[in-house]
Amino acid sequence: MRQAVYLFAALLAVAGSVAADSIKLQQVDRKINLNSQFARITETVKAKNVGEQPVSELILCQQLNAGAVLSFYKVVDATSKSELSASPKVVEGAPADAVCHSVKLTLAAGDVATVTVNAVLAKAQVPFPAEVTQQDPQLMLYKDNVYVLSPYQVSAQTTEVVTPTSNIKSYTEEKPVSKTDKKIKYGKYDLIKPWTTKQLSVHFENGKSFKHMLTYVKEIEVSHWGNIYVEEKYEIKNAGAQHSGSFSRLKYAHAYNGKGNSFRDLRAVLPASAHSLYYVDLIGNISSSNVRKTLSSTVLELELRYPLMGGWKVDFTIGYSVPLTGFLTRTPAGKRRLSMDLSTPFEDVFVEDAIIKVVLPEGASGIEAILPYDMEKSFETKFTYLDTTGRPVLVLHRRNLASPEHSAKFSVDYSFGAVHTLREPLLLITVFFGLFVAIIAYNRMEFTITRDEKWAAARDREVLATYMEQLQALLEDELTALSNLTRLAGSLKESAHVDSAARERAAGEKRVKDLEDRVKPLLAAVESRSARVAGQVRDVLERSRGLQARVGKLLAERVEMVKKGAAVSEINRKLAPSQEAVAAARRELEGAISTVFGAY
Amino acid sequence: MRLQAQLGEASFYLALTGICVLAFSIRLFSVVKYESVIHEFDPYFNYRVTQFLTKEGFYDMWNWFDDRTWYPLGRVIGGTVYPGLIFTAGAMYRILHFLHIPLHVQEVCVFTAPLFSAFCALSCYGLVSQARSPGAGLLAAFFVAIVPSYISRSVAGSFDNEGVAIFALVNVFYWFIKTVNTGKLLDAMLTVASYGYMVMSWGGYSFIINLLPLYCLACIFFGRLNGRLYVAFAPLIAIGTAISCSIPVVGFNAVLMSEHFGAFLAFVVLHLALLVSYVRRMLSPKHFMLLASLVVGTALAAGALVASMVFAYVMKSPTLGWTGRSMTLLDPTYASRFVPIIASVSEHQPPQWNSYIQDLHMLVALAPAGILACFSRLTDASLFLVLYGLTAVYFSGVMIRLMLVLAPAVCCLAAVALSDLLYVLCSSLRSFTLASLLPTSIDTPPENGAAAETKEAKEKDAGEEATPTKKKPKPRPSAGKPAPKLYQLPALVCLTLLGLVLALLTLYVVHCIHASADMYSSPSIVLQSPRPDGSNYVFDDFREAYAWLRHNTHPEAKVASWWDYGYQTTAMANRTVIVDNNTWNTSHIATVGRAMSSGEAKAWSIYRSLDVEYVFVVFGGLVGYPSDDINKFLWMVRIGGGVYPEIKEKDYLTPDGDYRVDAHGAKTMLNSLMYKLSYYDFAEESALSTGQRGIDRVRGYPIGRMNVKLNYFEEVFTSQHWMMRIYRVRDQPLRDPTPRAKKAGKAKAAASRRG
Repeated sequence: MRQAVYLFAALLAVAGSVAADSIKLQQVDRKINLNSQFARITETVKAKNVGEQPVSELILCQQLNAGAVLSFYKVVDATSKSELSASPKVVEGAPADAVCHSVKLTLAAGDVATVTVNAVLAKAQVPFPAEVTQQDPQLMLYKDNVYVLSPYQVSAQTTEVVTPTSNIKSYTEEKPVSKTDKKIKYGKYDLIKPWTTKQLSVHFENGKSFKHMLTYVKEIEVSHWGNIYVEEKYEIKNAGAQHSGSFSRLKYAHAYNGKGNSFRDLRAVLPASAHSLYYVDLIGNISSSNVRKTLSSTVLELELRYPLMGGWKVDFTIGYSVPLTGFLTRTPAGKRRLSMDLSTPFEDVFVEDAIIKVVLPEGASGIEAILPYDMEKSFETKFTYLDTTGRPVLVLHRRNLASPEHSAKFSVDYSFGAVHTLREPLLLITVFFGLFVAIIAYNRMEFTITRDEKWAAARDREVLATYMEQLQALLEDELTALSNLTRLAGSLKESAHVDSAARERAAGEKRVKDLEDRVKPLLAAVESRSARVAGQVRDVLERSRGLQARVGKLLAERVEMVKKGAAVSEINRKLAPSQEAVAAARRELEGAISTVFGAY
Repeated sequence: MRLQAQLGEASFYLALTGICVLAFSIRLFSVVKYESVIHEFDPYFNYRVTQFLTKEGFYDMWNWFDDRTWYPLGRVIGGTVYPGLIFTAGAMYRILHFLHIPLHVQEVCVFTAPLFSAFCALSCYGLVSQARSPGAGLLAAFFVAIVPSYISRSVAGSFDNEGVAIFALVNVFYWFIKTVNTGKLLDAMLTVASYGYMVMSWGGYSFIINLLPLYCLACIFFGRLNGRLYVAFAPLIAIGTAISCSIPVVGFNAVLMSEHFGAFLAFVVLHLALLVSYVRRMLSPKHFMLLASLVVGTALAAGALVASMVFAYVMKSPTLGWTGRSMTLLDPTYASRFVPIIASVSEHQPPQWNSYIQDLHMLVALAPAGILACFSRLTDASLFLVLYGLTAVYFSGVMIRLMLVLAPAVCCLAAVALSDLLYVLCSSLRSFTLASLLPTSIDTPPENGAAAETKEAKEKDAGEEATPTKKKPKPRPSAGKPAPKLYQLPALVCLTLLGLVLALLTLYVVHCIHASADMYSSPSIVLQSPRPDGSNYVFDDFREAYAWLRHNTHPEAKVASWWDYGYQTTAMANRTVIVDNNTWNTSHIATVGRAMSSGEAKAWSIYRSLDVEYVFVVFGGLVGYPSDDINKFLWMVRIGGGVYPEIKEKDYLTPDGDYRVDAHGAKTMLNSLMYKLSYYDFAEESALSTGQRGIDRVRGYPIGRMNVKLNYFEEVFTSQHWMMRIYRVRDQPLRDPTPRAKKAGKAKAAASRRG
C-alpha cells in the first residue's frame, strides 16, 4: 500500500518536472500585506508555455514558516476574471515547508496566461519577543522567501511588503531593496532558478489585534412557523504577544500605551431583519453591547467581559432570530432552500475551528448542502420542544477560516411537506384531548371496592340529583309557559282577538298539563328515595298550581272585559290587583325553585 | 340553581389558580429587571450541585467528594447537604428533558422557587380551610402568595433551600391538621411523607419536630386528646424519625441531639395519657385512685433515674446537646459570645422592629386579631394555628432569617381574622339588602327560603369540613332565625368597613409589589445605578473577575478570598477555594482571616503553605459599594483571633475603639494585607478618575497610606470599577526592590515590614 503511494507520488513528481521544463514565469509581482493579523499575499503571475506540448496545469507554491497555516487560497484568471480551480499537490523538489497548488489551466504551446493569486496566511506573524509587559509595543516577525517560490524559472519578479507601522526594526536586505515609510520593496530580480530560497524576514511593530476564535459553533434552527434561530458560541483568544508580569488597571485606564496589545471590542454585521438579539456567556448576560440598525444590516458592537491582554481568553454566545422571508425559498424543483451566511459575522477574526449546525424541521429529507468551499459534512439528530422523531441536523466542519475572505453564503436544499408543521400542534391537541377524555372517563367510572352504606348513600344522592335536575328543567319550562300565557293576557286588547287568544290559551294550558304529566313519575321516583325532598318538590308544585290558577283567572277576567268592550286603560286598572298577584306568585315560584333545586 | 353553584365552584378554583399565578409572577421582577440568573451566594452552591446531579446522576452526587473547596480538606457534599431542593430541581430537569423540553438547568433552578411559592399558597389554603373555612383559606393563600418576607427568599433566581422548604413546612402542617381532623391513616402517611421531604429540604425541620410535640402536649393538657390526634402524631414520630435518620446530613442527630428529645417526650406522654384514660374507663374510681398513687410513686422513682441519666448524657456536651444554631435560637446572645461565624452573617442578627412592618405589612396588625378569632371558636386545628403563630413570633425575634417561618403563620392568622370580619359584614349586609329589595307583602316567605338556603349551604360545608365544624360552639350568625338581627350592623357601617378592608388589601398589594420590585429583586452579583437618561448603568464587576479567573488561570489553581465568595468562586470561576459559605471548619476560616489581617510577609507564607496562587478582595471604595471586604474586615479579625490569639481586635482599632482606615487608623490595620490589597494603586486612580486623591467613597475620607507597595503579591487583574481585585502570590518575594523603593525611607519601611 505504502509503496503504491510512493510510486504514485513519484509519477506525479515526474509529471511535475516535465511541466516545469515547459513553463517559464515571465513576470511575477508579489505583494505581502501585513497590515492585519494575517499575511495577505497577492501575486500576479505571467506564465508562458515555452515547450512544444500544451500543458494543463500550473504549479504555484507558497512557503509557510513554522506554525503558519494557509487559510485561504484563490487563483483568478486575470483576463477573464474567472476563478480557476486549485488543488493542493505534493511537488518533487519543493522545500519541506512549502505548500503547492496545482491550478487547472490549459496553455497551448507558446501561449501566455496571467493569473492572480490571493492567499491568506494565518499565524504567519510570530510575536517577537513572545512575551511583553503591559506597556510594551507588540513586535512581530514575519518570515517568507525573498523570491517567489516556484518550480519554474522566473524571469523577472518584484516583492512588496506592507507593514502596519513605520516602526520596522529590521528586514532582510537582499539587493536591490528599498524601504519607504511603511513599505519594503524587493527587486526586481532577474532570472531566478526554480526552488531558489533565501529567507526574508521582517521585524516590525504591529498594533493590530490578533483575534483568534479557538472554537466557533453556530447553530441555525429553522422553524417553518416563521422563524430562524441562530446561536453562535465562541471561545476567543488574544493570539498576539503573551502578556507577562502584572496587569495594572490603573495603567490600563490612564497610562499612555497602557492598553498594550489588548482588545475588548468586536463588531458583527448581522442581517437587517435580525431581532431578539442576546449576548451572554456561561454565567449570564454581558451587559456591554450596542446594536445599530441600518437599512442593509444590523450592526452589533460588543465588548467582551474584560479586555483581552495577550494570551487571555474568554467565551461568549450571541444569538438572534430572523424571519423566514429572504432566507427560505423554493427551488424550481420544488425543494426548500435555506440560504444563510456560512462563517462568522465578526470582522477581521481568524477562526481556528468552525462547526456549523443546521437544524432542519422534523420531517425534512433529501438534505443537500451547496457550499462555497469544501467542508466536512455529517448528520445528527436533535430533539427539542415536543419533538417525536427528532430533527435532522447537518453538521459542517472546517478549520482555519479567515474573515472576511471566508464570509460567503451557503444553501441547504431539502424536501419538506407542509403537513409536518402541524405535527406539534396535533400532538398537543391529542395529548390534551386524551387527558380530558381520561378525566371524563374517570368521573363516569366507579372505583369503589366495597358497596357499603356510604357507597349506597352516595349513589342515592347522585340518582336523586339526576331526578331533581330533570324536575327542575320541567318546572322551569312550565314557568315559561305560564309567563307566556300571562303575556298573552297583557296583549289582549280587542274583542277580535279573543278567539285566537282562546286557541293559544288552550294550547298553553295543554302544554302545562303535559309537563305536569311528565312530572308525576319523576316525583314518584323522588318520593321513593327521600320523602323530605319529595315534600319540598310537592310544595313547589303546589305553588306552580297556584300560579296556574291565578293566570287562568286573570285570563278569563280579561277575556270577559274585552268582550264587554271596555277601554284598555280601564281593563288595566281593574285587573291590576290580579296582575300583581300573578307577578307575586311567579316570584314566589321562582324563589321556591331556586331554593329547592339550588342544592343539586 | 345548579348552574350558579357550578359557577361559584368554578370561580373558586379560578381564584385559587389566579393566586398561584400571582405568586409565581410577582417573583419574576428579578428576571424582568435584571436577567435570569442565580442570585447571591448560597444559591450558587445549590446550582453547582444541581448541575453535578443532572450531569453525573443521583448516586454520584450522593457520593460526591468535592475537592474544589476547603482545600486541602475537601468536602463530602452528599453527607453535608440538605438535598431536597437539589433533588427537586434535578427531578424537574429530568422530566422536562424526558419530554424533550431542552431547558438549561440554570433556568430550571431560577424558576424553582417561584413555582414552589405557588404550591405554598395552595398548602396555606389547605391548612386554613382545614382550620377554619375555605373562604379564610383563599384569603390565606392570597396573603402568603405575595407576603414580602417570603418573596425576599423566593424571587426567581433565589435558588435556596428556603424556596422549597417553606412550602414543605406548610405542607407538613396541612397534612398534619388534616389528619387531626379526619383521623385517616392515609393522611397520616402523607404527613409522614411530607415531613420526610421537609427534613430533606431544610434544617428548619427542627421547628416542626418541636412545634408538633408542643401541640400534642397542649392537646393533652386542654383535654383534647383523642384517637385522631394519636393517628396523626404517633406515626410521624416513629416513621418520621426513621426517615430523618436515613438522610445523611441529619443521620443519628435525629435521636442524639436535644432538639429531638421533645418529640420523644411527647410521644411517651401521649401513650401514657391514652393508657391512663383506658385504665380509668376500666376501673372504678376507687381502684383507679389506688392504682394511680401506686404507679405515680414508682414512676417518680424510675422517672428520676431516667431523668438523671438523660441529664448526665446531655451535660457531657458543652452545648448541652444542642447544635450551635439551635443554641443561638434558645439563647439569642449565645452566638455573639461564642460563635463569631454565626454572628457575622447579617441574616442571623435579630430583626429591627421596622422589618416586621416592611416584611409583613398589615398582617402584623391582623395576626393578633387572628389569634383572638381562633380562640373565640377554638377547634383542634385553630389551636394549632395559635401555637404556630406564637412560637414563630419568638423565633423571628431571634434571627431575621426566621421571619420566613413567621410569614405563613401570620398570613393564616390574619386570614382567619379578616375572614371573620368579612363574614359578619357581608352577612349583615346581605340580610339588609334582601329585606330592602323585596316588597313587604311577600316579605316572610323568601326570607325563609334564603335562610333555608344558607342553612343548606352550611350543612354542605359541614359535610366537607367533617369534624371541626361539628365542634363549633354554635350558632353562626345567620344560621338561626333570630341571629341575623342580633349581629346585624347598619348598612352604612358595613359598607364603610368593607371599603376600609378593601383599601387595606389594596395597600397591601401595592406594598408587596413595591417590595418585590424594588427591594428583593436584585441578584447582588450585578449592581445597577440609574443614569440621567433613565437607563441603568450596570456594574458587572464580579462576573467580569470570575470569568477572568475561569479562563486565564490554571484549572488547578487555588484561590483564596473571604468565605463569602467561596461558593461563587467555585460555581462561576470553577477554581478551587480555601474556604466557602459552608463554614463548617472554623479554624480553616480563621487561617484565612489571620492571613488577611497579617502583614504582607506573614500572609505570603500562610498562603504559600496553603498552595494558594491567587488572592482576591472585594473593594468598593472607588464606586461606593458598601459591602466590601474592608467593611467586613473586623469579622475576619475576630474570627481569626478566635483561633489564633496573636490577632487582637484592639490592634486594629484606634485608641478610641473606632474602626478607621484613614491617617488615624491603627498601624496594624494600615499594614494588614487586606488594606494593601484593597488600596494598592488606589490613590493614583482616585486622583485621576475623581480628582480627589485617596478619597474612599464608602468610608468618605482619605485613606491612611496612599503609597502602597507590594513585594509578595502581584496585581494580575482588577475589574473595571475596581470592585474585585485579584492578586497572584509571587513564587518568590521581590528581592530586588524597585528603583523607586531604593530611596532610604522606603527601604527602611520595607525592612521593618519584613521584620
